Amino acid sequence: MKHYLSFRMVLLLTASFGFSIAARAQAPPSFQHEILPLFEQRCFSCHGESQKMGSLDLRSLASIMAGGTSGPAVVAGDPDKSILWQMLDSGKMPMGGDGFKTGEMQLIRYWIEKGRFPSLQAARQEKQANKITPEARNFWSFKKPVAQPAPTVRHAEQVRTPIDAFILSRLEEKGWAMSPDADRATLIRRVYLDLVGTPPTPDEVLAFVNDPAVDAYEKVIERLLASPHYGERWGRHWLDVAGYSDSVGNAADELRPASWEYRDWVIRAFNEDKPYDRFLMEQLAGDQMVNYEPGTRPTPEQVDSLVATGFLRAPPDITDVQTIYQVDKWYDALQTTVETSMKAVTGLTIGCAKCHDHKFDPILQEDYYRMTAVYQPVWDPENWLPAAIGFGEWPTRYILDADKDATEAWIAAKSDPRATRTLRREEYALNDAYEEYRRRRLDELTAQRSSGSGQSDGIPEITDAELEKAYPELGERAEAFRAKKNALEVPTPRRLWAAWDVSKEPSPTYLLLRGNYLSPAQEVKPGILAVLDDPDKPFAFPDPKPEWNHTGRRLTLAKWLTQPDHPLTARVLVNRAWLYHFGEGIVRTPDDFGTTGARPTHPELLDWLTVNFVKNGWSFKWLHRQIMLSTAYRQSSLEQPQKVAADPTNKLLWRKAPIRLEAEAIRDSILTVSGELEPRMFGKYEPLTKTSDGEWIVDTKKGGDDARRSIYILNRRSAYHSLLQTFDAPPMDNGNAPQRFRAALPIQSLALMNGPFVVERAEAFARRVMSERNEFDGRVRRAFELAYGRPPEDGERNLAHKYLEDRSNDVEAWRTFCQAILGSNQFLYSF
Amino acid sequence: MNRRTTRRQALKETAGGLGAIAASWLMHQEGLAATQELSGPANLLPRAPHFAPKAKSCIFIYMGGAPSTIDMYDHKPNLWKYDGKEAPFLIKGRRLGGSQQVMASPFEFKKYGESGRGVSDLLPHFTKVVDDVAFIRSMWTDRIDHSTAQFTFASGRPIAGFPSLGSWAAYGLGTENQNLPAFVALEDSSATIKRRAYGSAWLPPVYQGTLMNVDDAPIPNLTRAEGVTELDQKEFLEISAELNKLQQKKYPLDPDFEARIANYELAARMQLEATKVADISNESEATKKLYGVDDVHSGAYGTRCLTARRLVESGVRFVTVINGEWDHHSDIKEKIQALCKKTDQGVAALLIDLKNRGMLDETLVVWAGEFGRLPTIEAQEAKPGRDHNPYGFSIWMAGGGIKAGVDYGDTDELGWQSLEEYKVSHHDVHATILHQFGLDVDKLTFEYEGRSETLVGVQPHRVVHEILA
Repeated sequence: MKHYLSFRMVLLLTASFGFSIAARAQAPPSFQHEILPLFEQRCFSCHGESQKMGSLDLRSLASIMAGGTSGPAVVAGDPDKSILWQMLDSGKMPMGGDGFKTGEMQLIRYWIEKGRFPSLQAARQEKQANKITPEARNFWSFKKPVAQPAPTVRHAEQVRTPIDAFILSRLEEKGWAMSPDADRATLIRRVYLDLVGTPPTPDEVLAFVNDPAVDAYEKVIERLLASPHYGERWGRHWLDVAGYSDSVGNAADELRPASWEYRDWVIRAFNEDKPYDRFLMEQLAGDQMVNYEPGTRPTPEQVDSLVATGFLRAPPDITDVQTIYQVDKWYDALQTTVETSMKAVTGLTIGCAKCHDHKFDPILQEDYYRMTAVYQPVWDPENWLPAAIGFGEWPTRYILDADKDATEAWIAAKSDPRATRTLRREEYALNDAYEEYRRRRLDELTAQRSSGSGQSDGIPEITDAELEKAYPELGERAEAFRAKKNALEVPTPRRLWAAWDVSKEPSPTYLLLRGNYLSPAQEVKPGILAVLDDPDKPFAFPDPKPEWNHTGRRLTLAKWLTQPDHPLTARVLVNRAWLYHFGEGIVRTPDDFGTTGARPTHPELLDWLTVNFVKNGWSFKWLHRQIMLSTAYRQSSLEQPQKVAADPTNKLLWRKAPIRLEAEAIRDSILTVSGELEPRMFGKYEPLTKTSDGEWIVDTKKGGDDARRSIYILNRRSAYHSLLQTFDAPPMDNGNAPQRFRAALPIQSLALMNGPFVVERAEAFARRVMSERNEFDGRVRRAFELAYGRPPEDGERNLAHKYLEDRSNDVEAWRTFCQAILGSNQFLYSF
Repeated sequence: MNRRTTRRQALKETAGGLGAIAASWLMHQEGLAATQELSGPANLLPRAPHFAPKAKSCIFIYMGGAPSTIDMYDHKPNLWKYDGKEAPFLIKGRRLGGSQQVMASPFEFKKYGESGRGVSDLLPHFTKVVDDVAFIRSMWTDRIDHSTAQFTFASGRPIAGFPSLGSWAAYGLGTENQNLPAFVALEDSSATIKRRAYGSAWLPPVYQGTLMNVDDAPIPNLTRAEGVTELDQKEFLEISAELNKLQQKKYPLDPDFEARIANYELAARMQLEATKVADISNESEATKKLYGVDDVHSGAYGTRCLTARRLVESGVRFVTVINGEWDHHSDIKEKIQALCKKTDQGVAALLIDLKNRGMLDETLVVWAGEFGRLPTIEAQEAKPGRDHNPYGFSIWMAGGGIKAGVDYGDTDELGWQSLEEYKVSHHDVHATILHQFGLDVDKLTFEYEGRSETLVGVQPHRVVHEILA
């Protein structure tokens, strides 16, 4: 320790380190970590959630400072003038039970003396309306959209829809026109990938190419818009916007048992073309639309609207499982939800305003907390609802779709943790047993195979059920376990992962100085962004009506957001749709419609589409038709050197640029081409398991189906499906991810080259081609038609001859060739 | 740099295509360090730091779950004085009415090395390198649960969704071997925050950490799938290249397509190089013995440490070795003993090995958990443990411009709370690590959602100059 002491000495002797030499006394106690737990133990029963005697609530700094009928409980810095201290010191409080220990009393006194307290004086009395300048209100995205008539253009022959006129008028300024239409084979592949996320079959291509009808193209689009897979494709886009995930987001990242019902709701909503205003309103306030009464069993009509509010429950909320008393996480969950949903719907990032007025955008700190007040009745830091997954607590954040008796039976069963624990232990043991038997079975099968009596082509996956059949002793054990589990387990009622107002009288919302919940300033009422408000006639949130079971705040917000002439809501959505069709938005920063964001490349076009989208009933399918029937969309993707040089990122839309497919479309397309895609829709997610080399794949041993569309695979933040993640599917670590990366990474090449999933699909693809066609040329043609939607070109055919002609019945050779097709740029892109 | 320009983004990811990759590769081969400005496209080419660096690479030994440093190398003699008695001052922990009964370490401390620092008999191997490290004995965090503390240590924020320390380093400096990832994670199955401890969040994906296994395939998809022969793979690469070149003829100006062609070649090289790095069979017997790779207790962990050395030797910028088993609420005696048996030898061997090879000077090694454990007993059971202690704990750093033998800061007499004037936070450690790389944490920024984001954000932070050589 000698060295150590001498170094300390040096430190004490030199004052060059920028901190005080005099040893300070203990730091002021933290309210959250040190004082609150004391109050919780001795004070909350009378001054907490259930009772507020003398109108005093000791659960937050704000409520302590607000005090009760005798005034503020604490005078910052002066214990002797603080009622709280007087009551404790005189022994009047706590009433009944043990008093505080001496050390604890000292701590409380020291906290009143030195602790950090909110300044309740309204720090900012400035009229907020004055903080927003007229220029700010005049910013393009804050003004109502106005549809200008489509301009007149020279290349009138290229105008199929008004979209084309807007685009041509910009191109013609440069003396350009649009590219010619793509050929039909290219076009139909583009349309399929866009609307259903998988390529067309060769027959579908052929039928379209040879269809003489004038409306051949329109018919294809109508057919696809009516396909149930349309909802799976576009639902996934919306899930990116919502930040959908099946897990909680804390370190252990537990799963949310019923979150996937929201995913299904989204798919259905797209398929039935639910108008976007309605679609949004249900997600933001479905519970309030149906006037759901907390604690009751929802009526069948209410269920759907409650599931829709899964939107609000999508962001990470680590209090889902957290049992430790920590106020900061409550605020995190509340604020993340506000920020995520505002970004999703209005394309504004308001996160900056949590700590101070936004530096660049006219978003005030008050705005941030006004929005927070809208959501606070659900995420009330002073009335926090546990999610209590796996525990029997009630009420929780899950609504049980069950009557009183069933609910109570379930709670009773769930509340016996010992029985559950024993059962869980047995389940682990049983799982180990499966593995052991699986190994044994594998050995046996291998032995059989090498002795020539078994099949020759590999050993298939061995399921648990097969093992139980093969080994009766294992079967009996599993059966016994299931019986025990059934007896113990009262069937879990359907749980709805929904958001609703916990109380009609939520705690007040305060502006938090520097975003610190320990520094609340003035109270803030629910409201909208000042820059979008009318200073002469401010938007008001109505007081809740007596017949409401809720505050009505989110419903009011949703109604405001879905006003037909709202400057942001429809614009942001139209821009997102454009982004997913063209690879870039008209505003190239789809999540920043503020001053730091990009300006629209075609503002008049954006407004025309926005206004008419609303006029046409906020219909997604109307929007798809407008976009896809345009010449702009039908253009060829081919490069023109001069234009590439002048406009490399295609801002003027002189062509339809190629787009690398999203991860899900890549995986789903591979399955389509290999002939293995399982079209079953909806239901619980497909589980994942980790392979020995660290990949997360669908767990087929536990009943997972690896042939279903990617949207049905588990979305777990900490353990995302590896192939999907490699191709930039977002694990939703935080908030949402409406715009994906489209990176080109060597690990993607590794996955296409060595990934077992791709190799297996390539083999299925090869076998399919070999079984569907008998002669060599037909097989080659079939392979390219399935994958590329067109016959092979000369170079491609020559390549096939070079590698395959003398091995035309060799599965491995065909597999290699087919795998190269699946890993090629022609396959991975939409052209 | 900004995520919003996706198209340009794609360009960035690809470093201008084959040309740039090949150029950097060639320069690497010739031993030249290619440097370029930070404002360039997102790639892993080596970049000049803000000022002269002391460390070229970093190995972060992350002990998740919060190790009880007062049982390991924080000798607090007064623990024995109060053993079994009530603490002389109020010890606050996570729980209300938490135990005030002091529990001395069940392990014996002796003084080791020239510095004469106290190390317990849990760490027989560490005693050999105790003079090589600098201790920060006054660590502190305001996060009392694993989740938020681990995220803070991994990425500077208490929640997921922010780029990890290693990603920032890769972003700031690039890497010297383009055939290997810039940032590698070697993870025990016990690690908790997993992917998010080495994720790049909104930094471009090239900066994310790559998970590497030491037992099976080192990197996912690095080895051929079952039933695929070497010849199959060779043919696959040939056919892919041919198909892609045919396609490229139609789109000769698109850098994406060029990059994907290059990536297959890169993937093939990576397959060779990463496999080579992960294969420790050509290490000398003495080295293997040093790390205890054949030992039943320390084998797996020792192999990770040895692999970490091999990675930095091959030019990897940042390696994080993650374990997550230190949450000893009960039976701490047995559990910490087993865990030290597992990790002590590998960690000590790493320092010895780096030193012997002359690599320690430019390799920063950090050993840390997210917080520590209380000096009081948790649960009056036969096999007691210790509860979370975010108020005071220790970590150590070595090599890479760290002054060996320094002890910075202290806790109170029982090892509960760090002395106020010496408090060091996770953010300070982050600033210090980047400083050793020649990076100013405040200047290493990335534009995200209209904000200039940094690793530490708005949290107070400083470089702990007191431990620097």
